[in-house]
Amino acid sequence: MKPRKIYNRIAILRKEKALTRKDLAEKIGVNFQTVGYLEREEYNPSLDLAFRISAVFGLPIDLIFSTEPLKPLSELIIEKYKSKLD
Amino acid sequence: MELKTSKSSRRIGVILNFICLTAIVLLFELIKLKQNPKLLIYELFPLGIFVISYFIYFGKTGLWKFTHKSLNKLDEREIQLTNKSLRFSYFLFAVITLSLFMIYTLLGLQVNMVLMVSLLFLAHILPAYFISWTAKKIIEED
Repeated sequence: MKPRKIYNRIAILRKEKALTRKDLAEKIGVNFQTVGYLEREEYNPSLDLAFRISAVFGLPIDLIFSTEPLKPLSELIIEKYKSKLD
Repeated sequence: MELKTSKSSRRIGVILNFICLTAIVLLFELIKLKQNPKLLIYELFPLGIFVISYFIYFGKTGLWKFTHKSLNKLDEREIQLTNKSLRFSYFLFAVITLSLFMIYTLLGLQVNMVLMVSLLFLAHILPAYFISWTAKKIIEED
């Protein structure tokens, strides 16, 4: 069975937290090259690794990973803001 | 493991190393047929290139070490990568060994120490060949 592509926001969240790939790799217990593979969406993490990543960023898994292309976070904020205004 | 060199350069390394390994075995068989031990000096040429290419493409890059690391020292992506390379190597090694033994039997040649050592080395380097051949060039920027 061919695995589905998993999209993620790791790169943007890592930059937001001012972490280097090596810092994040140390926190989640992988090689820093694996962080690169995850950010380029060339590798689908296991559920265990996904939980570790979500714990580092303090966000729920479905906000970091998705099976469909993710919208930019700014777009989500604007949508939320608009719905509040309505 | 550092794969900072281009894919084509790494592939040249794999081809060069494999050709030299094959040349060592073939040359030894030819020398045995000629029954002239003085010709063994010519073995030094492919052996030299073989050793140099091994150090440049598999020693310095850490590929040899990477494929021989304990599973506890690898992360999940690396375990997946080594599993894939070992699976491929197991298949290819079986095909190469079987073909070689068939050729040796058909030609009535005796299996010798050089062939055995070369095969043993090949079994260990094949996973590194696979990774070197398939992996993308790694550019790490923060």
